[in-house]
Amino acid sequence: MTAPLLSVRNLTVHIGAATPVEEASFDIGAGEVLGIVGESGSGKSLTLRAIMGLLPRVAHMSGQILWRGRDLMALPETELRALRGREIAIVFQEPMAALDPVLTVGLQITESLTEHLGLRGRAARTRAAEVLELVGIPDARRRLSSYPHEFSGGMRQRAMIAIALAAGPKLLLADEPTTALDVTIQDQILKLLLRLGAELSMSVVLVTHDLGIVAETCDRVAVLYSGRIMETGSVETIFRRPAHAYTLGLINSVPLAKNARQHLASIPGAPPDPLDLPPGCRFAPRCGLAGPECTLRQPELRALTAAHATACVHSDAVMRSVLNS
Amino acid sequence: MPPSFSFCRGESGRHGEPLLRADDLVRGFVVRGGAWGGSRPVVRALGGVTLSVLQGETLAVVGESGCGKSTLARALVRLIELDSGQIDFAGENVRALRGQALRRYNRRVQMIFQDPYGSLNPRMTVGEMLEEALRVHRLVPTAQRTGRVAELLSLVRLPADTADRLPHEFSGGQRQRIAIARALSVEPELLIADEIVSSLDVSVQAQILNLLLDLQQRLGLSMLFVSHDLRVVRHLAHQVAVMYLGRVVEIGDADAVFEAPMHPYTQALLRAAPRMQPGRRSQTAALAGELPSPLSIPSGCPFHPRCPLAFDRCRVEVPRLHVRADGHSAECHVASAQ
Repeated sequence: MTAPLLSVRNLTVHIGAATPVEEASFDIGAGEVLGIVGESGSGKSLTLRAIMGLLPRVAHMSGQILWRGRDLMALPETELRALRGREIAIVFQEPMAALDPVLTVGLQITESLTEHLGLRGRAARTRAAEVLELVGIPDARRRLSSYPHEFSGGMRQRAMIAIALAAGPKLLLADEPTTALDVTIQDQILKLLLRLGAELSMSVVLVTHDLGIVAETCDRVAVLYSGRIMETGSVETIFRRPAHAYTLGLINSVPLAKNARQHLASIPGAPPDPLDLPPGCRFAPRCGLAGPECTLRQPELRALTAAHATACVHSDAVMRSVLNS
Repeated sequence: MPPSFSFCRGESGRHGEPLLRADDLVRGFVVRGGAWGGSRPVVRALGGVTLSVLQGETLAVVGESGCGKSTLARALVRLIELDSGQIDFAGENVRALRGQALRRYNRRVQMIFQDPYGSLNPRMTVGEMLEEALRVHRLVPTAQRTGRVAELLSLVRLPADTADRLPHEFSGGQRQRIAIARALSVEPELLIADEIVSSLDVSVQAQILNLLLDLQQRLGLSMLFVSHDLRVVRHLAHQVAVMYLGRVVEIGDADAVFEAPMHPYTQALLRAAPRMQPGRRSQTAALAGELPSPLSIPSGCPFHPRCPLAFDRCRVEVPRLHVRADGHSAECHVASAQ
């Protein structure tokens, strides 16, 4: 079995008294699409930014982030900067927040090409046009001289992806890249990301709150709740044989056509205040299966099979209830 | 169920009869800074919208950006005015209402917005806000107001001590419940909800959907539910209207529209929406291209540049509404031919 491209081990992010990400561990293999799914406050965006070393100044990280064997946490900023864009790239939810409004899209792409690949002048511009075409922007050569505000929402997202991919990274981190887009444009962008991942032999980590997107685009999933990973596994496993009460609750919260206009089995309550966490399992206060052992200590993520891990003490009960329904 | 909450039924007609009818609603917005000397360009937000909400039922209005669904919602409560068209509510001509009659309409038809924080006064406790509504509309004698506030909070499944707290102390889902409570406090017959669950987490969204279903059943509440989320729409709606660039391109019973969509745009929307089934369905995007600029709506059928089924007639002739026997209808030359 080949070594994973990226290996995150016990990643913890401290911001003041809170730990919005705690003991997160997961792997990404070459050419794989990993989904990180969670609701607000789950820590999914921070996890992604931690990988790139893009946390706010007040945050402190601990653990290991092994990229092709090197621990990114031990690298000085200068080396990290060389890595960002060249080997690992990131795209965000709001293109206008990430794109420089006073530079043309062409310049933003060639900037990356010059920095990472040493391309200049005509060679850089040609490559930039190629990249814009790759992401499906029509009339690419001419649009190199457009500014971000001259693009529509979907096109801006494509431009951001073009800038991210220009130097040929092997891993693309995508933080809710389609949340702000219309559903037909979202569909276009997700399919684009999948196609690019396959064509460029690139792995993708997709952070989202939308389980439907996870089902249709990801190979594997990590489910996050209140800063901790609750379950990891293949998409097939997570959707058909969930082994965590939260995962099951989340899946049941999504309206399905066959249950139209009927009561949804929702999860009561709301996620905990990060500064006032419950003892033991963070999901326990909202969990129908919670017992005294759930509040005694934080359950560890344990392997059920080689590819399926859960942090739920009552995983048997969860899996049984799925079989029975 | 407290007897005081039977207000939504009865006054305006029997279950299933049209409560609100919108007929050919038109609204354009003039764009600033148009070409010098020429006529100012107009964004046609509503290009002739016709639909109705039936008593005790939910009409969902679904569409993507720029389709006009939010403009429609605002026009129905007179937050913005129309250029032309007719709105009938329980036999009254809504556009002609003034003064007292308009205030009465605004009590009977309540709107809830996407951002609950924006519509809640941050300096009033929840109790103060709810009592104010009761006081202004003189619905309940002073002595009974506190009791009514408690009933309202229990109706939206919030704890009694909610009344003493300020909006910022609550989560998004709880604030949305407070907004619903306030809408219900004036005993409306029709709720117009504009993307009210869009910014909520899926587990919280499920709670609100359950609440809305429950309220509709218990109170006989009618609803016009604006959303871009087809899964949510399917869960709530009895009828669905699909909008594109200011027009209703398809309308009908929810089951009919979802299971046998007539319009290629509806078909694309349904294909584009991700399903909860693991596995990649297709490599091809459900719908190519982008929304045209609302300043230059295409000739003929506005959807034709993106439509996989477009033929010559679609480029030159605006399709007329093709109505089937069961009321399911679409504005499409291809659908009309079938």
